[in-house]
Amino acid sequence: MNCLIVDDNKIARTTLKKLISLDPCLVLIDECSNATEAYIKILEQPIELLFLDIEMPGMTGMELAQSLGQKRPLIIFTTSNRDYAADAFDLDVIDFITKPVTTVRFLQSIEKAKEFQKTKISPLDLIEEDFIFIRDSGTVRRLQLDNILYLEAQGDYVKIYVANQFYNIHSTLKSVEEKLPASVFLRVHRSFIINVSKIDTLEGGTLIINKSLVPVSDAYRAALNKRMQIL
Amino acid sequence: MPAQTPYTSGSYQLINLSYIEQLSNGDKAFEKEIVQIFVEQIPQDLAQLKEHFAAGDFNKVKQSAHYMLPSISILGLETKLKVELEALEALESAYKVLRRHIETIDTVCNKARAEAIELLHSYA
Repeated sequence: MNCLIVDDNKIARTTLKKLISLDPCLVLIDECSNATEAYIKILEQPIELLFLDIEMPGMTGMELAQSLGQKRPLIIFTTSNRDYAADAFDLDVIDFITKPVTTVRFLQSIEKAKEFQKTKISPLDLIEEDFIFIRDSGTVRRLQLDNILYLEAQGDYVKIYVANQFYNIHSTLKSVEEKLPASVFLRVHRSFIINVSKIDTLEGGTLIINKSLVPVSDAYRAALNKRMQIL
Repeated sequence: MPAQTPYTSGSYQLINLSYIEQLSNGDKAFEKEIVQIFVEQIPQDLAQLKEHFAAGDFNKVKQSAHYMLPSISILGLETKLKVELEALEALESAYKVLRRHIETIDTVCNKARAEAIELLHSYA
């Protein structure tokens, strides 16, 4: 689990680093002395668990937690002040621990985070070979793989096209690609994955799938030709 | 010459190493790192606290006192400064009382720092 420490106090960061080193499942990616620095880091790289101090100069831990939106990792608040507990839990965090953090209390929090991560439904989960579940605007929806025409990356989202509509999921194309069966789907472009069985025509560098144009980049051309087994 | 005799948790009047020792699980390099940070950080923290108090900026006095809490508690000083720290968090006492509390925090932390320096010398 990739972790990030956010605390303006060096002693607090050092003790947390020591505690994180006790559990081999935890990988400390970085430490930040303020929330703004942490905000940028979280947008730049995948952080799954945040050890977040509350009272810091500038942006507070609470404000950081509220500002992260869908990029928000699991959060364990660490603070010297118990008065924040109620507000902190209102933000739907994993735990709230007071400093100095004891080993036992830390490990309890980590167990909670692991349990939560196990039960969490990712934006796209492969359940069986012929269908997937996607989280689309708060709704978990089942999609038959056979109905998917192609997928397109757009910023932080992936559009999944089926027949005459599409679904938006918050994910990267790479992580979606890893969950789709390679026997059915193929990457043809930095921003596109197609269902090979849905190709209507290929002309030059463009595929037509259900009347939509899908570009094929040179880097993926050979893999596509091989898969299509053109006669 | 600084003392070279091995210390024990109960060797010092102010600092209490039971938390650090529990956390370190025998990792002396880690213990030394924490004590070193305390020795380096506490004079700056005290200076800020006194500066904000002298300037009459009580909101910042409160923030400074809060900022010092992890350093103070990690070396077991929290119980010794409980009354003073709570008063600075609440800011409800008279000016003179608050000033006395800051003086106490200053004295205790400086003595604790001297003990921490002595402790640093005892590490190999």
